[in-house]
Amino acid sequence: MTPAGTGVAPVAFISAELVTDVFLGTATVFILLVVAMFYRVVKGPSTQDRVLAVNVLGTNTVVVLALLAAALGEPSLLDIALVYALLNFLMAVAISKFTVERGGVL
Amino acid sequence: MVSAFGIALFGFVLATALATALLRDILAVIIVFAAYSLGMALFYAFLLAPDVAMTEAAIGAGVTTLLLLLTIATTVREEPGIAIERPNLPALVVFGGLLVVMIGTVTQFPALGSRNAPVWSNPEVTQYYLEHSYKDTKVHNAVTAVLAGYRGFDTFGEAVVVFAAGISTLVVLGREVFTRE
Amino acid sequence: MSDRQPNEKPVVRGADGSESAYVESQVIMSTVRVIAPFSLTYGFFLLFHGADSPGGSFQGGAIIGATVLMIAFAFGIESTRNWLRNRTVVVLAAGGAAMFALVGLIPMAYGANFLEHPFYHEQFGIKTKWGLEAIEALGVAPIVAGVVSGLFFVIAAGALPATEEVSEDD
Repeated sequence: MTPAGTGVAPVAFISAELVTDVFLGTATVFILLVVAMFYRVVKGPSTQDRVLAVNVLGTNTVVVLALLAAALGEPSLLDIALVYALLNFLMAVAISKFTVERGGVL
Repeated sequence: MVSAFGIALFGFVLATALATALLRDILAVIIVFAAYSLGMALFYAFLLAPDVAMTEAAIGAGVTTLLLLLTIATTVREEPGIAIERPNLPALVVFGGLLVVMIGTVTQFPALGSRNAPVWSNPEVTQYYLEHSYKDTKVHNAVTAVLAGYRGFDTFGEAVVVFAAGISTLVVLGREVFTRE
Repeated sequence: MSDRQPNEKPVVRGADGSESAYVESQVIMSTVRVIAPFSLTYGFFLLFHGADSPGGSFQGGAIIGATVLMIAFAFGIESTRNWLRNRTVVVLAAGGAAMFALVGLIPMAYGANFLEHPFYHEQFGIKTKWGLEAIEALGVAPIVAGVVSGLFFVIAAGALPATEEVSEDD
């Protein structure tokens, strides 16, 4: 595992492993939030609930990817986060347009 | 901490896959499938395969959902009477057999990052590309060097497959769509 | 939520072109106006920078195609389809395949092997890197972008019930 936070000045009680663990732990908490949000995707009585929930999932994914990039010391993962940030919007627009004007525009 | 993150992510992907298979409403299935794609992209990123994760992000978030939506736009949506699909027995039997085979295969794999993995126990091949790709091609990304350089002929075949599949779909669907009255 | 029409069948447009009742959403249009340049630029960045960072031709081409989809969703599928003629999409895909084959075949004409990149360096003094970039930027990416947007327009045309026939003779 590549040690993260190598640019940080070495303070006695903050080690690289601790930084990695904190970032990964935060990412884990976010994944748990994603699972909780997924309940609304499955259960959501209306399509609007599902679209909103999946949009939140996408935003959460961007955050998790950024945290992973910091934890694993891989800046290239930020590129994937950018792709998601740009394209997540497209998914939401498509689904909402589909539900509002079903048969009208599609 | 790494394993905790992996387990949580695995749980999420499993939940999305199950929901995709079991939900009844097709529109809901498409939305859930988008969530599945998010989880898989996170998995690829977690396993340090950024190129694959990027592909999953670009195709799964942008293109697949839209094409599926447009496809079901041609159909008439029926209000689902039940929320959960009732699984039928023959499909379950086939699925069970497949599951046994898959579990039998996966348990034979070396563990993630293990020294016994073929990548490490037989380093001549992998290390060759990692060491020589920059010297040979002056390209930093070894994946690109292998894709476009060392196995360019393979990539040519793949590109032609994508091209042929796309164009033939355009021709067949175009004739279907534009000539009907 | 309560006032959505649950079982509305697809609106069948009459021959008198009564579909003009639909007005494109202002919110989506102005948002796409802001986002589309960024995502197109990012697609080209992935495409041209794929040699030195993750990403590459397939991902870049897919994002460029997705940008076209985004514009089509915001400004109306039919008008985007008329703007980006069918011929453009097909020429993009076919030209990509032809360019890839050309890059591979030129060394063969001089007696080297198919896609032998070092040949370009020895014969013309072109760096090997540019051979890879040519395959990425001129070969694979146009194929992916063309196929993605072409599939989208064909499926969308199938979803549109019986508009006036769009000329498809090219």
